[in-house]
Amino acid sequence: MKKILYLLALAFGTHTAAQAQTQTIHYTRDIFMGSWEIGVPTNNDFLNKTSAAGGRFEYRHMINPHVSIGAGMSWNSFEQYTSRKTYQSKDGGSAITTDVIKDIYTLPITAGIHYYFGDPHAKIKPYAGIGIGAQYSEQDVYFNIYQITYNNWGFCVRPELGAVMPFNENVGGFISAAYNYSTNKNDDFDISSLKHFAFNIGIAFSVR
Amino acid sequence: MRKLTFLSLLLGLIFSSCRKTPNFDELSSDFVVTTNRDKTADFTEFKTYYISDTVANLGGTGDDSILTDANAKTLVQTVKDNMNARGYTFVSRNAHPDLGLQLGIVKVTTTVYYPGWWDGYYGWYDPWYWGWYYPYYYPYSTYYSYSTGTVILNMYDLKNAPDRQQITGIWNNINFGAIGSSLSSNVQRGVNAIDQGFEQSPYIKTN
Repeated sequence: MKKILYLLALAFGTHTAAQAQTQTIHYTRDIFMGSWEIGVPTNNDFLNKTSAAGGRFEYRHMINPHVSIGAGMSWNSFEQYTSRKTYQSKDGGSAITTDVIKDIYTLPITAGIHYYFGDPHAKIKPYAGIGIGAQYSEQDVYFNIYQITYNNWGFCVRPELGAVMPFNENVGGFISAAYNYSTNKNDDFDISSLKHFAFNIGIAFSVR
Repeated sequence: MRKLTFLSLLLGLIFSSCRKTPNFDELSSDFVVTTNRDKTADFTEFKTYYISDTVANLGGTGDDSILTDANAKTLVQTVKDNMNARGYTFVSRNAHPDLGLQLGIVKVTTTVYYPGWWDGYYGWYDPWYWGWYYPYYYPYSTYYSYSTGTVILNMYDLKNAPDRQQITGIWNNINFGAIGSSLSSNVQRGVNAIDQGFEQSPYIKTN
C-alpha cells in the first residue's frame, strides 16, 4: 500500500512538475514586427542615393526556441535629382539635355526562416536568416512636366542579420541589416537587377 | 489571434502604399533640348546656309501659318548667330545655299476640368451617410490649364539634293516643355534651347 501511494505521489509529482515546465517555455509564439527601413542602393548606375522613406512589416512564427519561419514585406521610395546635363544615345546620333528626377519604388515580399543564437531568454537575441520571394518595383524618370514610368516584378533574395531585444513578454525592439537582391529588369533604363542594403529599426510584438 | 494577423496584414498593406512622391519643384522650367543627326552627313563639306526670317506656326496658337513678329526674328537671329560662329556664311535663297534651315513652333494649351456637385455627384453628403460610398467632390467646379511649347529647327542638305533627287534632313533640334504666361520668358526659353542645341552638337562646323 505504501509502495502504491509512493508511486502515485511520484507520478503525480512528476506530472505536476512536467506541467509546470511546459508552462514556462513559451516558444510557440507569433511575432509581429514593424520597422522603419533605410535603403542604400549598391552597384546601381541608375540611382545611388540612400532612401529614408521606407518601412517593413513582418510576421514570424517560432517553431522552436531557436527557429522561426515567417513572411514579410518592405517598401522603399528611392529618389535622386540630377541637375541639367546632356545624355548621348548609344549610337551617338541623338542627344538630350535636361535635368531629371529618378525614382525607384521597391516592394519586396518574402517568406523567410531565421535562426536565433544563444539563450532564448537572453536580453539580446541575435539572429540570422534568409528570405526569398518576389519584388514589385516601379522606376520613373521625371523631367520638365513629363514622366516615363515602368513597373516590373523580379525574384528576390534577402539574407539578414539582426537582434531582438525583448522589453517584456510581449514587446521588444529590434534592429537588422539585410541585403535585398532582386532580378527586376529594365532595359530602357539600363537596369539589370535591383540591389540595396536595408537597415531596419523597429518594434516586435509577440503573442502566444 | 486570427484578428491580429488580419489586422497586421491590413496595416501592412496600407502602409506599403505609402510612397513618397518626389518634389517636382526641383525640376527646372527650361526646355528639354534634343538633337538628332544623320550620322552619314559630313557637316564640314558645307559652307553656306539660308534661313527664312519667318517662323512656321505648326499648330496651337492663332490662325497665322507663319510668324513674322519681333519674337520670331529673335529666334531666327539666334540660329544665325550660332551658324555664323561655326564658320558658315548666310546667303540669300537664290544664291544656292548648301544648307537650308527652318524654324517652327507649336503651342498647346491643355485644360483640366473638375466638375462640381451640380454635375451629378453627391459631394455634399458624408460618403458613409447612405451606408455605402459616394465619391467625394468639391462643391464647385474648378479647372486648371497648362501650356507646352515646342521649338523645332530643321537643317536640310540642299547641296547634294540634285544628285540624290531628294532633300535630306541632316540635323534637327527639338526643344519642348512647359511655358508660362510671360511671352518674353517663353521666347528666352526658345533662345536658350537653340543655343544649347548647337552646344551639344560640336560636329556642326565648317572646315
